[in-house]
Amino acid sequence: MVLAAATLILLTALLPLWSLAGRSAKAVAATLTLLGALGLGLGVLAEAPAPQPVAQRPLAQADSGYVGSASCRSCHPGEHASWFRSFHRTMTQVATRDTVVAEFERLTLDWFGSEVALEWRGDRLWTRFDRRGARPAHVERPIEQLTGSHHLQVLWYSTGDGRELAPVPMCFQIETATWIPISSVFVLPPEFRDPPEPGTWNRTCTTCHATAARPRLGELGADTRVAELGIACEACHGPGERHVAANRGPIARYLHRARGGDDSIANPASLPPARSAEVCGGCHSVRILRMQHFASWNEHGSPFVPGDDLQRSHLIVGSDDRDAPELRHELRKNPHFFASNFWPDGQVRLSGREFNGLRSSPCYQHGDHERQIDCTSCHRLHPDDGIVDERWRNGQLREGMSGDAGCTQCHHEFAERDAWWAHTHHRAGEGAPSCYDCHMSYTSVGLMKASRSHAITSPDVNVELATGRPNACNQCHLDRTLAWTAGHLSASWGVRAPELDPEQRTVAASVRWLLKGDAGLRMLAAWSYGWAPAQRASGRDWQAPFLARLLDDPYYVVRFNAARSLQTLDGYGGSLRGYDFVADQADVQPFVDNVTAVWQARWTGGDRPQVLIGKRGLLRAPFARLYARRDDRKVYIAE
Amino acid sequence: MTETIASTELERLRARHLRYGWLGLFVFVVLGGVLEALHGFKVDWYLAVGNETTRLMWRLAHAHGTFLSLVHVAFAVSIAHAERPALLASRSLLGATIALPGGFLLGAFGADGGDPGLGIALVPLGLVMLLVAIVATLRGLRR
Repeated sequence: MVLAAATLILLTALLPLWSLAGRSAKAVAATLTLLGALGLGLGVLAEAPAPQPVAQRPLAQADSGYVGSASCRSCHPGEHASWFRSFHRTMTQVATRDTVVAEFERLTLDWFGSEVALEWRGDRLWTRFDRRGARPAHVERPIEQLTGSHHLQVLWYSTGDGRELAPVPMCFQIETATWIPISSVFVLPPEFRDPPEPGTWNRTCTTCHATAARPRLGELGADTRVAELGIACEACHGPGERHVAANRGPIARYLHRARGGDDSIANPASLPPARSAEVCGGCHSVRILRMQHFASWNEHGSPFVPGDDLQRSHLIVGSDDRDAPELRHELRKNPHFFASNFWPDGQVRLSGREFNGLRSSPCYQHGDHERQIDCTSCHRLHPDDGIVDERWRNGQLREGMSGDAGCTQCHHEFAERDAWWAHTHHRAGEGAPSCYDCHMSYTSVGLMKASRSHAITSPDVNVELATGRPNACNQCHLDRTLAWTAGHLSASWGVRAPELDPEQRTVAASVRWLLKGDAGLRMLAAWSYGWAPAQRASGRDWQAPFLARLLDDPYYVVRFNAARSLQTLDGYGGSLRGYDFVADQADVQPFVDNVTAVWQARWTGGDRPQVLIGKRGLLRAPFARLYARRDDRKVYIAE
Repeated sequence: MTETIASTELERLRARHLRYGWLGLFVFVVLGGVLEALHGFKVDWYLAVGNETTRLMWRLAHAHGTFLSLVHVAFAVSIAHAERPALLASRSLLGATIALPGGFLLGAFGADGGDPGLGIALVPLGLVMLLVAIVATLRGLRR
């Protein structure tokens, strides 16, 4: 190409020569022009050097009906542009200086006492560490691929075994710009310190973190192929070859337009609600491949194509499926499968699996197809107004859907503010809940934080008593008891008030979750204590000793959330200086005492027995009694 | 006598195309300035990612309009070297000046994805008229 460009410049420079008079000048010009034209031809014909074959990482190759996102751009420039700026595109990327979020040249990280080195060698990032787990080895390998660009970024190196990838044990947390052990991201018992085993990307992550993946795991190593790295156009629209062929000619395009589109590709925005939601549910669900597809999965990947009935190819796991052969098979491999992913009533407990929740919602289940909701009722993968800003990138919500419009678009009766206030039974003014706060509360965990449940429900203390899942009221009214909540739900909405034991009647629900809940519940409680609406409803002056108590929790992610929520309270930043949430118990324990002492010295709030606080500060005996009953059963919530 | 009439017609044509040219330049340079301002002030509805085709159509209308305005000026200068009044060339050039930028301007309305609105159908018509104008001008030049 350089040769062609240089020749073109030379030819342009020759033009004035042609205007000279005289035969000899014209002859020189003709000869030079001929030579130039020859050079131009050779330059154009000479191919650019072939790119290095990709041998050490999954091969991105658009075939089997897939054409790649570049093919979509010329006809759908707006959609391509918004997708290009989305975190879906950058879910999986080849590791380069541009795609690695953290800025450094050389780093040595502490992985529970072992060193993990990261170093740029030219334009390639290398890692060096001693791998533990099932296949221990000294690793000194180049980083090939990255997962994530929004909350966390995980680095994957090639093991050298075909296209097999393995994760570096430390990942980069983008919010805090710190390197943390991958195992600390999940709700996992502290003895789990190793990252996922080599081959995890090829076997598991590939299904949803790339487009049209085929694992191709063999005895000679992995030969994983994907149509495209990241979640590209064809992940949601299906293979595009037929669509591209049908729309190449302009007349065909205008004819399709006049007819309102063509059926050569799936469009979730115009599919029937269930089919549309299943496009997202193809990844955003807890599901198991149907047994009849087990044999073909390795070679061909998931048989689901957008527009298909997801439940024909997958079991979408719910509370009624415990006898399904797929689930029995899964439970044999992973006995924690159900408890890790679900609350006892089958509501999903893991973030990023919203379809399970949506599917159980009355708004999805009811028979009126005109009003049946799907993901596109509130979300838009390509913004309506074409404006791609950070707000859209973070939640991919349709315009206005961060407020109550998601609900009032169907529940018109609450679009009027007076009716809405009457329904909420809250006082008008700042700090009022949104529809989502009460009906889609934060009961899922993942990515080190709480996420909204997409099971649209109404608060009910009876459900909490049956499942252990926190009720929405007390996630905001942190300083109130279950009895208080049950009383209000009964008086204002007619929800039956259950029988409560003395502790449930006298101690704030959130305090009980935080001190005696299991690790998942403690994490939710720790997160709620830092949630701005909850602080507005419950005050901000009493939470510190409770969050301090979690700073040495056995589960790292609980500690992390406690520290993060403490940072939102005034005056504890200094007390947390030097706090490392993955440090040994002995190293973090002093922070528990320091923060508690700082709070104790400041407390002037008076007597608040519901949150175990007296005039002189913490009521240590009941506090210790509850804490001694902490639910220490092992919890495994790993998205 | 005939020569005098021809000369008068040529003068009239020359004046007309000079007027079209400079008037067109004014209109399309102002359009360019408006588009630059929309870019400069980062006006959301103009720069929205879904508006790429509309933006492209307006840019093409500006570019073609400006270019064709200059062609009118060049045509007016070329008439001095013509053997006879190139009426076909003149009318075709005028038609192209309406159809080409007009097609792009109208194509901006009703754009769907990468495909412009139906107004774009004027563009190939304008292209044909421009080619006719070029050939007719070439044929009319003194040898």
